[in-house]
Amino acid sequence: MTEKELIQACKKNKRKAQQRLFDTYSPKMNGVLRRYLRSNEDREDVLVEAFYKVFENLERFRGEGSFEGWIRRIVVNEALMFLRKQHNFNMTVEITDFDEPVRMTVMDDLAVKDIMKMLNELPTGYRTVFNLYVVEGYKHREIADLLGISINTSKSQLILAKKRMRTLIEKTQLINQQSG
Amino acid sequence: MTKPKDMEDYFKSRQDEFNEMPSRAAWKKLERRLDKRQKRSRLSYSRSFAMAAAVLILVVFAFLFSMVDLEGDPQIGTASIQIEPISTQDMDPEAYKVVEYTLKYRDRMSNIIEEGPENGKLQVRNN
Repeated sequence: MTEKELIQACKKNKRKAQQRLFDTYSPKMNGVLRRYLRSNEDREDVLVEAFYKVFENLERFRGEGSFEGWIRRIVVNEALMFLRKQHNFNMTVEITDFDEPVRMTVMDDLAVKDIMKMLNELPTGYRTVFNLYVVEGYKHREIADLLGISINTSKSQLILAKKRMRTLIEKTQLINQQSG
Repeated sequence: MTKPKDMEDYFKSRQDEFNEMPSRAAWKKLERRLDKRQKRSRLSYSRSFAMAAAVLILVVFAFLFSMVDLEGDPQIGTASIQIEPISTQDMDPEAYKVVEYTLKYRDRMSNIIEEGPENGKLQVRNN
Protein backbone atom coordinates (compact mmCIF):
# COMPACT_ATOMS: atom_id res chain seq x y z
CA MET A 1 0.00 0.00 0.00
CA THR A 2 1.45 3.36 -1.02
CA GLU A 3 1.41 6.42 1.26
CA LYS A 4 -1.35 7.96 -0.86
CA GLU A 5 -3.50 4.82 -0.62
CA LEU A 6 -2.88 4.66 3.13
CA ILE A 7 -4.03 8.28 3.53
CA GLN A 8 -7.15 7.63 1.43
CA ALA A 9 -8.04 4.58 3.54
CA CYS A 10 -7.53 6.57 6.75
CA LYS A 11 -9.84 9.31 5.42
CA LYS A 12 -12.51 6.63 5.08
CA ASN A 13 -11.95 5.74 8.76
CA LYS A 14 -10.57 2.29 7.99
CA ARG A 15 -9.27 1.24 11.38
CA LYS A 16 -6.54 -1.09 10.07
CA ALA A 17 -5.16 1.71 7.88
CA GLN A 18 -5.23 4.12 10.83
CA GLN A 19 -3.30 1.62 12.94
CA ARG A 20 -0.81 1.11 10.13
CA LEU A 21 -0.27 4.85 9.83
CA PHE A 22 0.24 5.10 13.59
CA ASP A 23 2.68 2.16 13.60
CA THR A 24 4.65 3.70 10.72
CA TYR A 25 5.08 7.21 12.07
CA SER A 26 4.69 6.98 15.84
CA PRO A 27 8.24 5.74 16.65
CA LYS A 28 9.74 8.73 14.83
CA MET A 29 7.25 11.17 16.38
CA ASN A 30 7.85 9.68 19.81
CA GLY A 31 11.54 10.32 19.17
CA VAL A 32 10.74 13.96 18.41
CA LEU A 33 8.72 14.20 21.63
CA ARG A 34 11.56 12.67 23.68
CA ARG A 35 13.53 15.84 23.05
CA TYR A 36 10.72 18.09 24.31
CA LEU A 37 9.10 16.18 27.17
CA ARG A 38 10.87 14.37 29.98
CA SER A 39 8.02 12.28 31.34
CA ASN A 40 6.85 9.12 29.57
CA GLU A 41 3.23 9.74 30.59
CA ASP A 42 3.23 13.28 29.18
CA ARG A 43 4.80 12.01 25.97
CA GLU A 44 2.15 9.35 25.55
CA ASP A 45 -0.69 11.81 26.15
CA VAL A 46 0.74 14.31 23.66
CA LEU A 47 1.41 11.60 21.08
CA VAL A 48 -2.18 10.32 21.30
CA GLU A 49 -3.61 13.84 21.06
CA ALA A 50 -1.35 14.70 18.12
CA PHE A 51 -2.29 11.56 16.13
CA TYR A 52 -5.96 12.14 16.91
CA LYS A 53 -5.54 15.58 15.32
CA VAL A 54 -3.71 14.03 12.37
CA PHE A 55 -6.74 11.80 11.65
CA GLU A 56 -9.20 14.60 12.34
CA ASN A 57 -7.45 16.98 9.92
CA LEU A 58 -6.44 14.50 7.24
CA GLU A 59 -8.81 16.16 4.75
CA ARG A 60 -6.68 19.30 5.00
CA PHE A 61 -3.51 17.54 3.85
CA ARG A 62 -3.37 18.35 0.15
CA GLY A 63 -0.44 16.06 -0.61
CA GLU A 64 1.75 18.90 -1.87
CA GLY A 65 4.51 18.57 0.75
CA SER A 66 5.96 15.77 2.83
CA PHE A 67 3.36 13.84 4.82
CA GLU A 68 5.90 13.05 7.53
CA GLY A 69 6.76 16.75 7.78
CA TRP A 70 3.06 17.59 8.14
CA ILE A 71 2.63 15.06 10.96
CA ARG A 72 5.82 16.32 12.60
CA ARG A 73 4.51 19.91 12.66
CA ILE A 74 1.30 18.74 14.35
CA VAL A 75 3.32 16.76 16.91
CA VAL A 76 5.69 19.63 17.70
CA ASN A 77 2.78 22.06 17.91
CA GLU A 78 0.97 19.75 20.32
CA ALA A 79 4.10 19.44 22.49
CA LEU A 80 4.43 23.23 22.58
CA MET A 81 0.78 23.66 23.54
CA PHE A 82 1.30 21.18 26.36
CA LEU A 83 4.46 22.94 27.55
CA ARG A 84 2.86 26.39 27.38
CA LYS A 85 0.14 25.22 29.77
CA GLN A 86 2.75 24.13 32.30
CA HIS A 87 5.61 26.54 31.83
CA ASN A 88 5.99 30.29 31.57
CA PHE A 89 8.53 30.83 28.82
CA ASN A 90 8.83 34.50 29.66
CA MET A 91 10.37 33.78 33.06
CA THR A 92 13.98 33.96 31.93
CA VAL A 93 17.10 36.05 32.15
CA GLU A 94 17.44 38.22 29.06
CA ILE A 95 20.90 38.92 27.78
CA THR A 96 21.76 41.88 25.61
CA ASP A 97 25.07 40.77 24.12
CA PHE A 98 24.20 38.63 21.11
CA ASP A 99 27.51 39.31 19.35
CA GLU A 100 29.40 36.25 20.52
CA PRO A 101 28.29 33.41 18.27
CA VAL A 102 28.13 30.14 20.11
CA ARG A 103 29.31 27.55 17.62
CA MET A 104 28.60 24.07 18.79
CA THR A 105 30.48 21.07 17.62
CA VAL A 106 30.09 17.57 18.83
CA MET A 107 32.15 14.45 18.23
CA ASP A 108 30.33 12.21 15.81
CA ASP A 109 30.75 9.19 18.05
CA LEU A 110 28.92 10.83 20.92
CA ALA A 111 26.02 8.49 21.69
CA VAL A 112 22.44 9.67 21.25
CA LYS A 113 21.67 8.52 24.78
CA ASP A 114 24.34 10.93 26.08
CA ILE A 115 22.82 13.80 24.09
CA MET A 116 19.38 12.89 25.43
CA LYS A 117 20.74 12.94 28.96
CA MET A 118 22.18 16.42 28.38
CA LEU A 119 18.95 17.73 26.85
CA ASN A 120 17.05 16.48 29.87
CA GLU A 121 19.40 18.43 32.13
CA LEU A 122 18.49 21.72 30.40
CA PRO A 123 15.72 23.87 31.89
CA THR A 124 12.44 23.65 29.92
CA GLY A 125 12.84 27.08 28.27
CA TYR A 126 16.40 26.41 27.09
CA ARG A 127 15.56 22.92 25.86
CA THR A 128 12.47 24.02 23.94
CA VAL A 129 14.16 26.91 22.14
CA PHE A 130 17.24 24.76 21.46
CA ASN A 131 15.08 22.04 19.89
CA LEU A 132 13.08 24.48 17.80
CA TYR A 133 16.10 26.40 16.50
CA VAL A 134 18.85 23.80 16.20
CA VAL A 135 16.87 20.67 15.38
CA GLU A 136 13.66 21.86 13.71
CA GLY A 137 15.26 24.86 12.01
CA TYR A 138 12.76 27.54 13.07
CA LYS A 139 13.77 31.23 13.05
CA HIS A 140 13.69 33.34 16.21
CA ARG A 141 10.62 35.25 14.95
CA GLU A 142 8.75 31.97 14.48
CA ILE A 143 9.85 30.65 17.87
CA ALA A 144 8.69 33.91 19.48
CA ASP A 145 5.23 33.43 17.90
CA LEU A 146 5.03 29.76 18.82
CA LEU A 147 5.96 30.30 22.47
CA GLY A 148 4.40 33.73 22.99
CA ILE A 149 7.74 35.34 23.87
CA SER A 150 9.82 38.19 22.46
CA ILE A 151 12.50 37.63 19.84
CA ASN A 152 15.13 38.75 22.38
CA THR A 153 13.91 36.16 24.87
CA SER A 154 14.20 33.49 22.20
CA LYS A 155 17.75 34.61 21.34
CA SER A 156 18.73 34.75 25.02
CA GLN A 157 17.37 31.27 25.69
CA LEU A 158 19.26 29.86 22.71
CA ILE A 159 22.60 31.39 23.70
CA LEU A 160 22.24 30.20 27.27
CA ALA A 161 21.14 26.74 26.11
CA LYS A 162 24.09 26.43 23.73
CA LYS A 163 26.55 27.50 26.43
CA ARG A 164 25.11 24.96 28.85
CA MET A 165 25.13 22.23 26.21
CA ARG A 166 28.74 23.01 25.27
CA THR A 167 29.83 22.61 28.88
CA LEU A 168 27.91 19.34 29.20
CA ILE A 169 29.33 17.99 25.91
CA GLU A 170 32.90 18.84 26.91
CA LYS A 171 32.39 17.16 30.25
CA THR A 172 30.89 14.03 28.69
CA GLN A 173 33.57 13.80 25.99
CA LEU A 174 36.28 14.12 28.62
CA ILE A 175 34.74 11.28 30.64
CA ASN A 176 34.43 9.17 27.47
CA GLN A 177 38.13 9.81 26.57
CA GLN A 178 39.29 8.89 30.06
CA SER A 179 37.24 5.72 30.16
CA GLY A 180 38.05 4.78 26.52
CA MET B 1 39.22 8.88 14.33
CA THR B 2 35.92 10.72 14.53
CA LYS B 3 35.63 14.35 13.48
CA PRO B 4 33.79 17.13 15.30
CA LYS B 5 30.45 17.94 13.71
CA ASP B 6 28.12 20.91 13.90
CA MET B 7 25.28 20.25 16.30
CA GLU B 8 22.68 20.79 13.54
CA ASP B 9 24.39 18.16 11.36
CA TYR B 10 24.67 15.74 14.26
CA PHE B 11 20.88 15.84 14.80
CA LYS B 12 20.15 15.60 11.08
CA SER B 13 22.38 12.60 10.47
CA ARG B 14 21.33 10.70 13.56
CA GLN B 15 17.67 11.62 13.95
CA ASP B 16 16.51 8.03 13.40
CA GLU B 17 18.48 6.97 16.46
CA PHE B 18 16.13 9.04 18.58
CA ASN B 19 13.16 6.92 17.42
CA GLU B 20 11.38 5.00 20.14
CA MET B 21 8.33 2.75 19.92
CA PRO B 22 5.48 4.14 22.00
CA SER B 23 3.78 1.85 24.50
CA ARG B 24 0.95 -0.42 23.32
CA ALA B 25 -1.39 1.57 25.54
CA ALA B 26 -0.90 4.61 23.27
CA TRP B 27 -2.64 2.94 20.30
CA LYS B 28 -5.42 1.61 22.55
CA LYS B 29 -6.04 5.13 23.89
CA LEU B 30 -6.09 6.57 20.39
CA GLU B 31 -8.42 3.83 19.17
CA ARG B 32 -10.90 4.60 21.96
CA ARG B 33 -10.90 8.28 20.98
CA LEU B 34 -11.39 7.43 17.32
CA ASP B 35 -14.32 5.12 18.23
CA LYS B 36 -15.95 7.96 20.17
CA ARG B 37 -15.47 10.36 17.26
CA GLN B 38 -17.01 7.88 14.83
CA LYS B 39 -20.02 7.34 17.11
CA ARG B 40 -20.43 11.11 17.48
CA SER B 41 -20.29 11.71 13.74
CA ARG B 42 -22.81 8.91 13.10
CA LEU B 43 -25.07 10.41 15.75
CA SER B 44 -24.79 13.91 14.33
CA TYR B 45 -25.50 12.53 10.82
CA SER B 46 -28.69 10.81 11.99
CA ARG B 47 -29.59 13.90 14.04
CA SER B 48 -29.28 16.19 11.02
CA PHE B 49 -31.26 13.70 8.94
CA ALA B 50 -34.02 13.66 11.57
CA MET B 51 -34.02 17.48 11.72
CA ALA B 52 -34.27 17.77 7.93
CA ALA B 53 -37.13 15.24 7.91
CA ALA B 54 -38.95 17.14 10.67
CA VAL B 55 -38.63 20.43 8.77
CA LEU B 56 -39.90 18.76 5.59
CA ILE B 57 -42.92 17.31 7.42
CA LEU B 58 -43.67 20.74 8.91
CA VAL B 59 -43.51 22.38 5.50
CA VAL B 60 -45.82 19.74 4.00
CA PHE B 61 -48.30 20.13 6.87
CA ALA B 62 -48.24 23.90 6.62
CA PHE B 63 -48.90 23.69 2.89
CA LEU B 64 -51.77 21.20 3.31
CA PHE B 65 -53.25 23.27 6.12
CA SER B 66 -53.18 26.44 4.01
CA MET B 67 -54.89 24.60 1.13
CA VAL B 68 -57.72 23.44 3.41
CA ASP B 69 -58.10 26.93 4.83
CA LEU B 70 -58.31 28.49 1.36
CA GLU B 71 -61.02 26.07 0.31
CA GLY B 72 -63.03 26.74 3.49
CA ASP B 73 -62.88 30.52 3.25
CA PRO B 74 -62.92 31.77 -0.33
CA GLN B 75 -62.19 35.35 0.72
CA ILE B 76 -58.69 34.51 1.82
CA GLY B 77 -56.25 34.90 -0.98
CA THR B 78 -58.48 37.18 -3.09
CA ALA B 79 -58.25 40.92 -3.43
CA SER B 80 -61.78 41.68 -2.30
CA ILE B 81 -61.52 42.80 1.28
CA GLN B 82 -64.77 43.57 3.04
CA ILE B 83 -64.64 46.66 5.18
CA GLU B 84 -67.17 46.53 7.97
CA PRO B 85 -69.39 49.58 8.42
CA ILE B 86 -68.18 51.35 11.47
CA SER B 87 -69.76 53.56 14.04
CA THR B 88 -68.41 57.07 14.32
CA GLN B 89 -68.96 57.13 18.04
CA ASP B 90 -65.97 56.47 20.33
CA MET B 91 -63.66 56.98 17.39
CA ASP B 92 -60.66 59.17 16.80
CA PRO B 93 -61.78 61.69 14.11
CA GLU B 94 -58.44 61.35 12.24
CA ALA B 95 -58.76 57.60 12.08
CA TYR B 96 -62.31 57.95 10.85
CA LYS B 97 -61.09 60.19 7.99
CA VAL B 98 -58.66 57.48 6.91
CA VAL B 99 -61.39 54.84 6.92
CA GLU B 100 -63.73 57.15 5.00
CA TYR B 101 -61.03 57.84 2.39
CA THR B 102 -60.30 54.15 2.04
CA LEU B 103 -63.98 53.36 1.51
CA LYS B 104 -64.31 56.13 -1.06
CA TYR B 105 -61.28 55.24 -3.15
CA ARG B 106 -61.10 51.50 -2.56
CA ASP B 107 -62.03 50.72 -6.13
CA ARG B 108 -58.99 52.62 -7.28
CA MET B 109 -56.77 50.73 -4.85
CA SER B 110 -56.57 47.71 -7.13
CA ASN B 111 -54.81 48.25 -10.46
CA ILE B 112 -54.06 51.86 -9.65
CA ILE B 113 -51.57 52.09 -12.48
CA GLU B 114 -51.82 50.26 -15.77
CA GLU B 115 -49.44 50.01 -18.63
CA GLY B 116 -49.87 52.74 -21.26
CA PRO B 117 -48.75 52.80 -24.88
CA GLU B 118 -45.23 51.73 -25.88
CA ASN B 119 -42.58 54.34 -25.00
CA GLY B 120 -45.24 56.16 -23.05
CA LYS B 121 -45.51 56.99 -19.40
CA LEU B 122 -47.39 54.85 -16.93
CA GLN B 123 -50.82 56.32 -16.46
CA VAL B 124 -53.51 56.26 -13.82
CA ARG B 125 -56.55 54.30 -14.84
CA ASN B 126 -59.80 56.21 -14.71
CA ASN B 127 -62.61 54.02 -13.47
